[in-house]
Amino acid sequence: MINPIQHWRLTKNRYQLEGTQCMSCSKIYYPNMFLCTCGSRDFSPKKLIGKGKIVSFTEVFTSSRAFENMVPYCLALIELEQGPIILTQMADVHIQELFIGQPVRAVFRRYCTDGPDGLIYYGIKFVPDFINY
Amino acid sequence: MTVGIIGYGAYIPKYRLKAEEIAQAWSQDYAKIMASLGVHEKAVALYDEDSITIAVQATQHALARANVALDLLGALYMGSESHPYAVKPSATIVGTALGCSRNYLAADMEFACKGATAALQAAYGLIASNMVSYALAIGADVAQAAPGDMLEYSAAAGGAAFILGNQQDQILAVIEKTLSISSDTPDFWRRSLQQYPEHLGRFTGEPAYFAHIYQATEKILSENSLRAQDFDFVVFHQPNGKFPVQAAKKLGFSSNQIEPGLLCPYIGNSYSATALLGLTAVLDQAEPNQKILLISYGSGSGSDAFIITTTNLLKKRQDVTRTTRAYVNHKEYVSYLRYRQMYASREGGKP
Amino acid sequence: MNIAVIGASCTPYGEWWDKSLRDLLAQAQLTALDDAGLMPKDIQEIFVANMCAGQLSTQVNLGAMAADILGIHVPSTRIEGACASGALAVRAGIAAIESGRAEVVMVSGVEKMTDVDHTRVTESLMSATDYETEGFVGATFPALFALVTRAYMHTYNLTREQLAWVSVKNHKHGALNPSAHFRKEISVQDVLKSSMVADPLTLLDCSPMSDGAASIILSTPDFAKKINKHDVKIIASTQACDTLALSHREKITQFYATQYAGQQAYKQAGITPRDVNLVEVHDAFSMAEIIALEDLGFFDRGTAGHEIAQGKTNLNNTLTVNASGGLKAKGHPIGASGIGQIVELVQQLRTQCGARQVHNAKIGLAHSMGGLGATVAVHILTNKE
Repeated sequence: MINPIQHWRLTKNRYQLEGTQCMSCSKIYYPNMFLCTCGSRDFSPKKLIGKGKIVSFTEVFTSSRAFENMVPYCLALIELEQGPIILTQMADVHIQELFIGQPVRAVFRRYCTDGPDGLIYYGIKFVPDFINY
Repeated sequence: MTVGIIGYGAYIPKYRLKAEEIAQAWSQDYAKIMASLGVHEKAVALYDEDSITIAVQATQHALARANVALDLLGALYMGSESHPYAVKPSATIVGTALGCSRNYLAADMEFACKGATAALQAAYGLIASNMVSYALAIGADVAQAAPGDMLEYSAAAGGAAFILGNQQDQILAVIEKTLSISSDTPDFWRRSLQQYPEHLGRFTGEPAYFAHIYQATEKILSENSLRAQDFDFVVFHQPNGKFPVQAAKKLGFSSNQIEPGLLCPYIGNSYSATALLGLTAVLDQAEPNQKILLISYGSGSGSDAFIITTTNLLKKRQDVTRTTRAYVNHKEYVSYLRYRQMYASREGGKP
Repeated sequence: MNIAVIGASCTPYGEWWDKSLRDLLAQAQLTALDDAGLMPKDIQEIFVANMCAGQLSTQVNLGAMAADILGIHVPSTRIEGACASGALAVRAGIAAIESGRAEVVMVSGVEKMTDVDHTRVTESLMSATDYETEGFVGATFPALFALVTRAYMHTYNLTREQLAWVSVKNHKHGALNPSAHFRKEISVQDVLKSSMVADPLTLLDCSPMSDGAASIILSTPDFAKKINKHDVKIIASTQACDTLALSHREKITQFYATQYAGQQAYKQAGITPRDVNLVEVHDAFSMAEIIALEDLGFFDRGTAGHEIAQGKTNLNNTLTVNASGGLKAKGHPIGASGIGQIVELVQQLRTQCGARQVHNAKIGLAHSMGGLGATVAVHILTNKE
């Protein structure tokens, strides 16, 4: 169950792709971390650049109630330029267009709602990167 | 003080619905429809886009062109007639998505198809009065039309964003003058709890669209001692592909002046964004020191007129990010059924 | 380690419309008592495994329910570790005996999955993922495994057809198991043609939603000798964890938790993978079986899929894997599964399996996994002295 207050807490992570960076060794995590692999507990928020490459992908045909009206949709594991790997939905794309290693970029989209009178949950999805402008 | 556009951006969703598809779905006469509306295809949003997501994407392009730090934005206005919430401001969701801190003024605007030019005027006023240094005005819509209604052929999705400022070394286009005409005209409306708008057919033409557009145009031209020929470009609001061409002809503008900003035949009428997408398309190709006349129209009714002059700085920022044309050309067709399915998915859904 | 398994039983797995969560648990617990020849008063502690009852049956506090069924007042605790709940409950039972505080412990597992439509079950299963980041973006459990599958197939050149052999083989075994949810053989074509769940995984690549329960009774070796039920014992019990989120893993085509738990288990038992005759692995999805067999050291990295397709893991071939039919064909009532694997090993080691008997079964290994290798437990059993 997705809930509005949980979503509010995670707004910066979900809307702005904000992760966290270790103040000792500069390693970047998404969405957050308590204890770095280097041993430090000092972190600072770090807004991530929404560009990366596809590590793996799939297309989902059966889902939870929140998403069952939107199947099929594509999911991908994406390695961001700055290091962390994130799990996200791919937008505006059919699975046939995807490939491992594909450059992708972030877009702001709607994920789901809490029904017709509930909150709307926005977030970041990814699309194949523009080849040129 | 000079106030102008320091950044602008367009966003049009990828999906297109052909007029031919709609005509087939409703067993209507495609040739007759084309003759009266002149819209070949329109841009539609599927289930994961709405006015807010469109506004964010358009603004990201505006920020790319403006090259101004986000925390300098003092105000954010968003005009739409499809704000996702009846109560909960789109403007602050957009602001948060962009990464704004809490230090800004935000409000939603609505005036049918001209909520965003109203936003532009409000932004202009805040800067001209020195209340803020930079302000953002956005128009974005995912327009709704009842199944089988003529409006289905034109009601479309799109967004345009403008960052305004007063620094000479940043202004890409100066907003020289602006004025408005306002009235109470029952051409097109939507009651708060209704899904789809109502309109009065032929009444939406002469006493509504044309009357206000003509009045606003004539007023701004006469008050500034200008004539149609003095402009390089004219952009009117585009409820379909025919009305703006008719208006241009009546007011003495040539097809060369109106063509660059006439996108409706290929992307439809994205309501609050329509006139502004015409403006972004013009800005994408304008040369320095060219004059643009922008006349918006919002049902209910009113018209906002703007005289805009491009500067030497515009050329360098045009191709910094995706152009309006690139968005018009980046498309994938969907069936009428999928369009209707996805509309339901966006609004329905269960937890 | 030397923990005797003196009783073992599971209900047949399947869609049991007439049986509630409590009915299934009672059935398993009482038949396990009969199998051990014991009375309820002989049980000194209970552990009961379950994942979804809170969400799907609005019922928690299952420890109390398990004791209630037997009419006793002993310590009784619910254990949860997503799909590894059952194996974790076995570990808890073993710890209670090794600590000396109990001599005879009952470990049960139960799941009732068919009272709600599959969308609700899908949602419930999503709670085994890192919900805030994975559930939020619509990553169902099969979708996460599909990401792993695609990456594995890409890295090791495994074909879609080869992958299908896992389910084909497990159904072949399930057809020989009277307790299995699915007792019909299937072909590679059946797997490829079944509906897509999360590309490239089809319906027949995925374990089913089943109702069922399993129960075993553990004791000290002395107690087992006293009642003459000392034929099968647990000689290793290990567990390991990894990150909840798939996106936080170092590698996504292998599971470190399985490798670690496996290595520790072989050390504890004083054996190597080559000594194992039969294996029950957690084939939640066809790809899971392949990765598990490699992680447990039975096949070299990247080769298990090819070996399975060539029949090497069929009944009484090189290494019998999932003689029970595995999660795929035997069924996957989540809380029961890890315990059901132990029941299968016990019955194999007692030579009670009829048509699906593994010849000369001496050492068996059970591998159970929760989430995407976020929690893994391994047990090794033997009938040797």
